[in-house]
Amino acid sequence: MPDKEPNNDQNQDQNQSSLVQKIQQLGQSSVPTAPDSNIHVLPIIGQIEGHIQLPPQNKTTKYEHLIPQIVAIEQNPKIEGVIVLLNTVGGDVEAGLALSEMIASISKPTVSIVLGGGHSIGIPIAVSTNYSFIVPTATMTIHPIRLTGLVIGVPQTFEYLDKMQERVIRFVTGHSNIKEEKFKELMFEKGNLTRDIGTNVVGRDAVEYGLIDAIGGVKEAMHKLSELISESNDRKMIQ
Amino acid sequence: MILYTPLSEFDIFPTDQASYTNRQMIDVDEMTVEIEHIEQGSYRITQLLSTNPQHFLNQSLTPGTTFQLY
Repeated sequence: MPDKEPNNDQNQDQNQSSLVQKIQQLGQSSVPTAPDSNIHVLPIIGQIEGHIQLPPQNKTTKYEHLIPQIVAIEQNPKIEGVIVLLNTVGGDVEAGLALSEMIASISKPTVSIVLGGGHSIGIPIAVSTNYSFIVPTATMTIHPIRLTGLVIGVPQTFEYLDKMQERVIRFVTGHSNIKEEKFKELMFEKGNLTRDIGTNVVGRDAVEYGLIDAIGGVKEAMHKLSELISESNDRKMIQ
Repeated sequence: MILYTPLSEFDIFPTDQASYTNRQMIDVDEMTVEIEHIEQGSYRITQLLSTNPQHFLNQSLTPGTTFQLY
């Protein structure tokens, strides 16, 4: 990429002059730091926090923290790929969908790994990347959307929730290989969860249903990501 | 005691406001760090918010580290 070179030169010049300054001022230079990684990590942990702030003893992922980071990743030319790490119990549907849409719209290669659990709204986030992995022991609970707390206007809220569920289903089926009928079947299945409808899908089953692309952990995810990065670099060269 | 209710736990047992105000977000270099106030002028790092994996190798910002702010 020829447009990068002058920038690098400038950076080097700046680095050198600041180094010279440091040596002149203090008689020493700083210890060299590790080079910046071209792969960044986006952890989605604990509950996904929406409009209501959860008490601090809860481990939460706040979308107002993640969305600026996603924009920064998109903007930074040094970052070539993103790994999304998931271990979440779910949480706010709209915050989760917002994160999923943001991750799905990153132009750089993205890979997700589901570790431990990627439940409820963790599912759209897991499938929003270019390629998704699940470790064999991880599980994903597929269930209908629900609501706690005070409800004003029950019929309206019911319809609203139904539409919200439709959005989740459309996102998941649009970004993974699972068929809508299968996903709905798993979502409304009886007898899998005690006294509840839904299914708890374990690692290998998630891959079988087409929800997740492959079984794998860090090694596989890094390998796939570097593959996707070199593919996208090739595409840029051709252009 | 068993509570059988559709209300969320936090509606029944409201959390102490102090636990919210104890936590703060501060910026250190390019990183955002969540800190918790433990006692007079002393803080503990609870979370490091960064997408750069290299930042997590920085010993001084490891969650759990305590430091003094004057």
